[in-house]
Amino acid sequence: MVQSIVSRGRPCQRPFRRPIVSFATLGDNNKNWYNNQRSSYCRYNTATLSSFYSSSSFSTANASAYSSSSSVSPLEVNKFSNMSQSWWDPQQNPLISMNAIRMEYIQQQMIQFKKEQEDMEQTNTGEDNSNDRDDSNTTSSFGTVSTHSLPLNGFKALDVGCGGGLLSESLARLGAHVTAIDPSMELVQQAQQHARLHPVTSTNIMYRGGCTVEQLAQEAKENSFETNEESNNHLFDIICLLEVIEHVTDVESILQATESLLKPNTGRLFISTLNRTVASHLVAIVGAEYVFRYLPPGTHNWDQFQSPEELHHTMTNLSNNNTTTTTMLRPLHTSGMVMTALPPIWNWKLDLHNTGINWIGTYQRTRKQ
Amino acid sequence: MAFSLAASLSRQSKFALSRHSSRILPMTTILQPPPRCFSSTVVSPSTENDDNNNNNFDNFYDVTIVGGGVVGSSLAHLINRRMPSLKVAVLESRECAPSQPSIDRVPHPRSYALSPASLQVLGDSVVSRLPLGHYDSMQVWQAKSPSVLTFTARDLDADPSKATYLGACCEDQPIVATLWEELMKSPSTERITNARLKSLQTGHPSALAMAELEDGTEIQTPVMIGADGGNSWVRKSSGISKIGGDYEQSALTFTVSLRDSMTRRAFQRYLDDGGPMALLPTFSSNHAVVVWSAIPEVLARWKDAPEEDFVAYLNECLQEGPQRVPSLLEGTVGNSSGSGILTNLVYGTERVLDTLHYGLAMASQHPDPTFQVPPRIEGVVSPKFTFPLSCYQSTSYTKGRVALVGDAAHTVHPMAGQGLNLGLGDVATLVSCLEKAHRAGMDLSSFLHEYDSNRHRSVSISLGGIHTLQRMFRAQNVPVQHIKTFGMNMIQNVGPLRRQLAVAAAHGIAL
Repeated sequence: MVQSIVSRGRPCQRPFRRPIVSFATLGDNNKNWYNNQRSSYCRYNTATLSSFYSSSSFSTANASAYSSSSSVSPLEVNKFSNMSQSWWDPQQNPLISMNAIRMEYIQQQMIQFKKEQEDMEQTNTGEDNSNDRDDSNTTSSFGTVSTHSLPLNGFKALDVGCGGGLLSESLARLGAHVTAIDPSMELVQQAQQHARLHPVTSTNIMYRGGCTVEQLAQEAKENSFETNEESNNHLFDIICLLEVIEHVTDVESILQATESLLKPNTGRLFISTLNRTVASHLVAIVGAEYVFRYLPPGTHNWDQFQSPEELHHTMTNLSNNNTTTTTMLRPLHTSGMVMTALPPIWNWKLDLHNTGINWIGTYQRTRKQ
Repeated sequence: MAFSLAASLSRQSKFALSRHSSRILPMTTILQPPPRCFSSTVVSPSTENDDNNNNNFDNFYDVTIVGGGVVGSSLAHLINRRMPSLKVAVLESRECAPSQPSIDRVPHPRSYALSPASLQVLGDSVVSRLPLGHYDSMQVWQAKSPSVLTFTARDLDADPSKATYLGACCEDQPIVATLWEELMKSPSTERITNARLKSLQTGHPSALAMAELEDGTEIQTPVMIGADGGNSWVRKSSGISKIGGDYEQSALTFTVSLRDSMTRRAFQRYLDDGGPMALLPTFSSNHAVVVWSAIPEVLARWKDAPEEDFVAYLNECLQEGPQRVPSLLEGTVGNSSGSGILTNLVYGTERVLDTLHYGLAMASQHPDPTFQVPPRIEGVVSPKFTFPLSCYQSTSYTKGRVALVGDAAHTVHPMAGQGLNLGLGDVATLVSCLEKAHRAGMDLSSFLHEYDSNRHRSVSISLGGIHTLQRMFRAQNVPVQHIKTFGMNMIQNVGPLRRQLAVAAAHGIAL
């Protein structure tokens, strides 16, 4: 059952995305933007930048890969590294309350997917050839889904831009084997430290700091060349790009990389971001950053927000322009995320019809038509 | 003992009451040796850990509950029902599990009044096995006042098939014993009896909470719950302070045998000296439990009095029906020589007020307006227990990864029978906060602050209300008596107001 409800969101004032800007120019633009916006951003000076690059745990190979092809803005990385101290404090990080609703959505989608999968298996008596994840205990774990025990059991998940590990830990506790990457070394170290607090998260998450998704895609490609394998074993069942694409400089590059890491047909890509509407500007930037100060001012740049339609458009463009791949990303489902209570108790709910501010979508990698 | 009601409602200044009839044995530090069953573990330590990671999860529990009394074990039981995969430890200072009392016993005076919402928290599997004394209505009246206030089960729900009872009384021991039996069945709950705690670290978002037992065992846990009663060790060790004070009253509680059997009605009368005397049903229809709050001198005098005198006094207190409000001029009416105008004015005003009170009572739309005389007491059949009354509330219910529930967080005057009901309300709120984190696979402590702010607010309002009532009923002069009479008549006769109060008492205050 494939749903195309992407167009449900409120149409954006600017229906089409702005022209793609290359990494270098956009990075500079960004820097200027911040410097103009707030003089306090001068503290992201060259000193911190160079220390970031020359960080001891950064191998030279990585560094070159990083600087050559990446959608990551060093300014953004620094911004979030500076937040690392308050990352796990529920009263300081609004993502913690939001995470509950994101996880609800992901579980909803994956449980529905499992159901479809089982229905298909029952109708097709033949071998299951597309789904090569560890199926030995899927059915048994599925039997207990209603009691919320390990609904993601057996899935291989990738958390792109894991930050302090909020989402990675959730995925791991719900049964997934998680690979978590983030360009910030500091945040990943924090995340690793925090993951040691629980027996499951201390074993089921593999963290990689200073790593971009493009890099991971490159490695995967090289590995599959070396081993000359046809299998999908190195690919992921779940990839999460949550609250990431509004902070990157080149959305196309990141989409391309994630697509190549996603299992065709059976894999699910989750993307969440903010819509570019008047409401999102008022709520997420004016309200959250300047009036109530839930977030440090400058956390978000409204120009980088996207509507579900725009993202879909980007994906279509990407598949049209790229002739080397035979697959494309296709939206399956979109839902809004709405805040229902103000702090100190943050409360969120999923709302299919209100994608005006925060939204989350499910995507699938399918063969090009 | 200075409280301010206004302050009680605000978040910063809180108070609370200590110790209603439900005192859980304090977790003292008399150490007996070996702790039980620490060897079985959840997850074997990881083999891929870094060198600096010495975490082995031998003594790791998802939730650690200090105190295995009614609140602590019902918390463990509810977690178990709602999130069976969580590994829970209950630390209890007692040597062994409490046993079920014999069937043909005299009801123990250490009893609680449980609201329907509280019974829901305990769960059907437990409630069906408890010896309960249900009541459908509660009658409240006071000395020197004509008003009677009757709450009925129909105030809770207009549909009579749903509203089957207003509340139920149950002794402490069978609740704890039944809960422990249920917990014993669950493989994921570990009850550590004879546990003596030495030190505690409250932890923070990036460090687990830690409890060290006197035998050196260190328990690591994402969420540590203090359910260890009014004199909470966990609260003190976490450095959470409490606000409030002691009442000048103590409570005396004992079981009585009745000449007639108890109907399904609970009784509470405010006596001359202000202290309420309650007659509560038990599982046995020929017995009832008396809870009497009064100043300690009065209680001391009656505690050692001969039984016939005492029983006679009790009957005198409880059998008396509604009375007229005494006149200010009681002593002066006889000598009519006094200043005529003033006397007449006062006398006239009092008659007008009397007419108002009776008029209100006669206009009553109450479904069950008649005053019922409580059954006559024959004798005292149990030892008498005294305990001091106080009103305390912790300034915060959480600190780091520690959360307080029940008496550890707040203690209340027993007159409204809300002590355990508030504690079980804490349990319900806390479990839903834990569940929110658990469903999302998050750190279980993620939403503890929601428990703190939700619960602190509604408990403050309950405590404020109960405290105000307590102060009101202690005041004895005639004008106040008129105001009380008017207030009680209004509550009795204005349906929505009465229903609101009944629902607040039965289900807690919802905000």
